[in-house]
Amino acid sequence: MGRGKVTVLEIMNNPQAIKEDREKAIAFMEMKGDIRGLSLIADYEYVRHKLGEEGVRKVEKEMALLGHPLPLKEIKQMEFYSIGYAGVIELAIERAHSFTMEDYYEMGRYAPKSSVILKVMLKYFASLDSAIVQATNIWRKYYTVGTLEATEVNEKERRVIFRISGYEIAPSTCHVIRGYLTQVTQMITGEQVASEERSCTFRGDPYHEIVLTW
Amino acid sequence: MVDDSLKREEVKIQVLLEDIGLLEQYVQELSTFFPLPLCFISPIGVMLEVNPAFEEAFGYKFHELIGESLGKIIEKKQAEKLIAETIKKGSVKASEMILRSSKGKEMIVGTYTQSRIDEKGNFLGFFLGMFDLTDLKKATIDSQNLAKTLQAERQDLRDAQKALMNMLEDTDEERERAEQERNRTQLIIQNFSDGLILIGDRGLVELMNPEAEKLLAVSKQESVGKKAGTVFPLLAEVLLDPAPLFRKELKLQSPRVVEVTTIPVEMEGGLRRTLMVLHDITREKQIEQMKTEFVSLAAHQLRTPLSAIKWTLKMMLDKDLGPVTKDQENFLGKMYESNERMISLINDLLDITRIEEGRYLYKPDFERIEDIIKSVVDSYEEEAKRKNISLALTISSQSLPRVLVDGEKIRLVFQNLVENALHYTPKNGAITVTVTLDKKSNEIETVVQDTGMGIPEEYQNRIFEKFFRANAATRVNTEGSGLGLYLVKNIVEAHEGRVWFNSKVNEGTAFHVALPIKAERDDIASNV
Repeated sequence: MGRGKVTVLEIMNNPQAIKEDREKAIAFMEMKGDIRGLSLIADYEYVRHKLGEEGVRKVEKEMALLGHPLPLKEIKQMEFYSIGYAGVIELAIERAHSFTMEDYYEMGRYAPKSSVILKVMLKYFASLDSAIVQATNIWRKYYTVGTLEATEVNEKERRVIFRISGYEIAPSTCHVIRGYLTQVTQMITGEQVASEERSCTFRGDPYHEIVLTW
Repeated sequence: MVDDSLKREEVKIQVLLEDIGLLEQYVQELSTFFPLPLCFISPIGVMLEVNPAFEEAFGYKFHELIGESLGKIIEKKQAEKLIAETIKKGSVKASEMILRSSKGKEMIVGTYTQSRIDEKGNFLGFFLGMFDLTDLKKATIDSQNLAKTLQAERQDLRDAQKALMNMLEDTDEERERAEQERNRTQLIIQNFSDGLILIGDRGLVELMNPEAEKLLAVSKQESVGKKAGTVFPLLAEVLLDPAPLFRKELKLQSPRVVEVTTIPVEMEGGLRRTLMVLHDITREKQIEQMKTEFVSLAAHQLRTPLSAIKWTLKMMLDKDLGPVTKDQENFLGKMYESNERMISLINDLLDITRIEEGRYLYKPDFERIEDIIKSVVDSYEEEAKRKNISLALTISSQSLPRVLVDGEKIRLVFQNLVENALHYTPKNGAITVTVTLDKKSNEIETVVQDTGMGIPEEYQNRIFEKFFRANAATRVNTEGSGLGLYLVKNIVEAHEGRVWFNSKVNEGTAFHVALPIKAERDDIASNV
């Protein structure tokens, strides 16, 4: 994928902001590791769901403006892409649509609904334990860096605690993952699930810890 | 070697990834284009996948369903039962249940399930197919309702038909009755002996019977729907009179004479019409004419021998034919008086025939009425004295105009009135004759007032009839013919005057005669 063309006019309109964001994008792209195409597609799909085609086009444009164009139609679900795209696409979304943290959480919840990987694993959803184990396995089907583990599975108290280590893209990504895990847990339990990120590397913790209750 | 082996593995992985991608696309397309609503449910009843047909059929978006319990769209107990049955039997076929659409609308669906079992026999969930039976059910219910409605309507129709038949029968009977009534009325009108004409409020002839056709010599076809004034010129005189008429005599084409009576009638809808009745009196008139002619002829024939008798008796009484004894003279005197009465009666009869023939007044002239009356009163002065009755005449001090009268006939009027007063006033009674001018009505009024026996109330309305005499009168005056007041009335009315009276038994009677005053330049002939 080549670098997108940025017009002189666009840069001149807000040269400092563009400059800073492009530097952020570069930093994202320098991160080690890969991400499955379907994760990026899920982000685009949520934008389409919420803002329509025009919303998607704006994000694609911002991606290009940030110097890393990746149009939706060119993304292949099973293909691996640089994990930096996970940060760049969220930066582009923020630039185009000023998403809040709540929006990113909903974006995360939306992703499992169209996830092929998840559907492949549905057969393991017969019991909570096996489902949670499989859910942790999902991580490596999406990402080549970091780990997801269930530190507590308490069916009686209707609680699960997930821990994510070695994964640090952007604060927005934390909300996306929290939403994703919330939705998956809801699909496993069949109950309305509440979630909280108890620990976060962006707050100085050594890992991310998300508590899910229902 | 290691690099080559790694390269080959990377190529294999790439091929596998491409195959997985294609496989995913194939599954996605299969799911997308599968035309029936399909859903995958987890073992605990969570919806994990729906196809576009499912979204379209029930109005949900996939993100509204994925991760939600099956209880969101069907009743919880039904969902649990469905899962239990699927686990137990492996599948459920055509189970009917109620589904809530995204808009809250309840839809009847047929459900099919097929369980998924892994190689170890574990239940992994199930596929759920749903078919919207709402329209089918609705059509069934509608057709059942329609059948019921049709049956009810058929019954209503039968009832209505029955009621209509009853009404028709009633109407037929009523119509038959109305028809009979109409025929009866028609029969009466057609055969009525008087002519009947019905005239509408715009003066158009609406109906006439055969007798009317005969009397007016105009056919119904020529008259109905046309202006009465145009088709009945002979009735013009009565048609112009807006007031109701009662037995008004009218001469049609000679010799036809009818009495016309008009009756205003108000019909349904407030329409005013006039019913005209024509009563044919031609025959009565002819008989009357014959009677008058006969009386005239008889009177003329009698008067000649009576005159001969009169003059013979006169000569005998005057002893021109030789001396007569006292007794003979008495007999001859009575014979003479009787003969005189007979002559007077015959003269009265002749006067009446002349009146009825319309040739009575033949000498009208302007005369002083007070002179005529004075002359009459003077002529009865001797008789009043003989009967010891005071007879006085009072004439208005105002100058009275001359009136157009037949002097001889007017004299007869007052002669009759004074003579009657003398006949029916007892001794020591009083008769006063007063002549005054009534400027208001432009008449000269003469009153002959007596203190006689008076006229009983029951006879008062017949007093001017021909040959009528009250019982008491016949006892007091045996010589009266009953023609005097008849003559008075006819003579006064021929002068366009009026005559009336006030009377009380044993107190007396006052006869009033009012004669109109006419300017002397008026055409005499036209008034008499």
